[in-house]
Amino acid sequence: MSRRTADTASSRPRWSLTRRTDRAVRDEEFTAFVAAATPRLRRTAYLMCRDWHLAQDLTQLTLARMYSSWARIGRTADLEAYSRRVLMNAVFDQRKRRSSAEVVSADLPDRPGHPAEQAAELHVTLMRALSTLPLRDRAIVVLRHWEDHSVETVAEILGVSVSVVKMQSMRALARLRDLLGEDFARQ
Amino acid sequence: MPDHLKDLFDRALDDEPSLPDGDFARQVMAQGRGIRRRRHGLLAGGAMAAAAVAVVAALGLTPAPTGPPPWIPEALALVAQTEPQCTWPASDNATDVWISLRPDSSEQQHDALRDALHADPLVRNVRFDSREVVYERLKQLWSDSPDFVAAIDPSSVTDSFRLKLTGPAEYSKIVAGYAGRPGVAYVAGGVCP
Repeated sequence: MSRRTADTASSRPRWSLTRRTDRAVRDEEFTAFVAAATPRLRRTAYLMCRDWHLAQDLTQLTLARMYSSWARIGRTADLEAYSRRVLMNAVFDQRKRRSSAEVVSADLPDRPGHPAEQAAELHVTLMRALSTLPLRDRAIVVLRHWEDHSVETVAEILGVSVSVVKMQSMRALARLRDLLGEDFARQ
Repeated sequence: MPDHLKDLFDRALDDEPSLPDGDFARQVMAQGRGIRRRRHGLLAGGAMAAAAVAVVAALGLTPAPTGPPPWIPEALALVAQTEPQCTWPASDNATDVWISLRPDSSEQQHDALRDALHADPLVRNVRFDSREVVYERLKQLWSDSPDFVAAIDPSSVTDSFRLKLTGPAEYSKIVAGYAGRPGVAYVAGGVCP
């Protein structure tokens, strides 16, 4: 082992040329991926956490984690689903770390009782209602109904079975409907 | 409702701030290299320390401050690091398990374990990773750190069984059931997506 490690400095020039070319190509590919993936990842992150700063950080962390294994994952078929999986894990981790800082639902109307707000700011109400859902249900709603992923893809991203996605999706939508009132459902 | 939901989400995104400038990809890559280095830091201890330190020295970096809990064999740490999407070690909520095998374990012991694992209702699926397979995966994963790759060989890792559990509550039962079996060096849990 010690002989090998002593060798490493002198062996550098041998590999550095091809290695650097490979790396340059990979970095170019990755830079293109970042440009393409960032806007949507950040929006998905925002819908999960309602905080653009945090969404930006989570997006950066997601991409950095992907870069740290890019040599391995860079050519996998479904980078999009993979990136959602890494993002959702980052969201879940983040929530675990600050689970005490739950700041939701305090001002959520328990029933449609604020017509003015409903008319003007239904999307605000929706975001508040969404944040009262369990995190995984929220992820299912966002991935399924904003990102438009199939039930199968959502199941794969979250590492749960298709039937869990279907069941929890139904449950989550019913709960949103409940929180937002019948007007919402009919619109 | 779902169509309407999409419109509402789009409206909720109206106040989106502008995206970061062109340096964003470079920042991401710098952070990613940090993550990779910390992964190396995880290997500090025992024989691997020399390799990790050599890498760190060659790159002119400060070693990551956090090492692994001392009771995890370096070889298993390496095996688990081939799956960076997993968080480990984990116990309470482990969804996945690595069973690292002793270097002197026999084929018969492997077969006995394999049969037991396949028959175990707590185990959703089982994969055997030979040390050669793990070594190849490591080489690929760290292909941009040739110093590190040069410091490892198949004997740096162990043969292992890789399990997916039927539920996160089963990990302690797996440890109880397999940790002491002939040929088993160590059982570790992780949370994988």
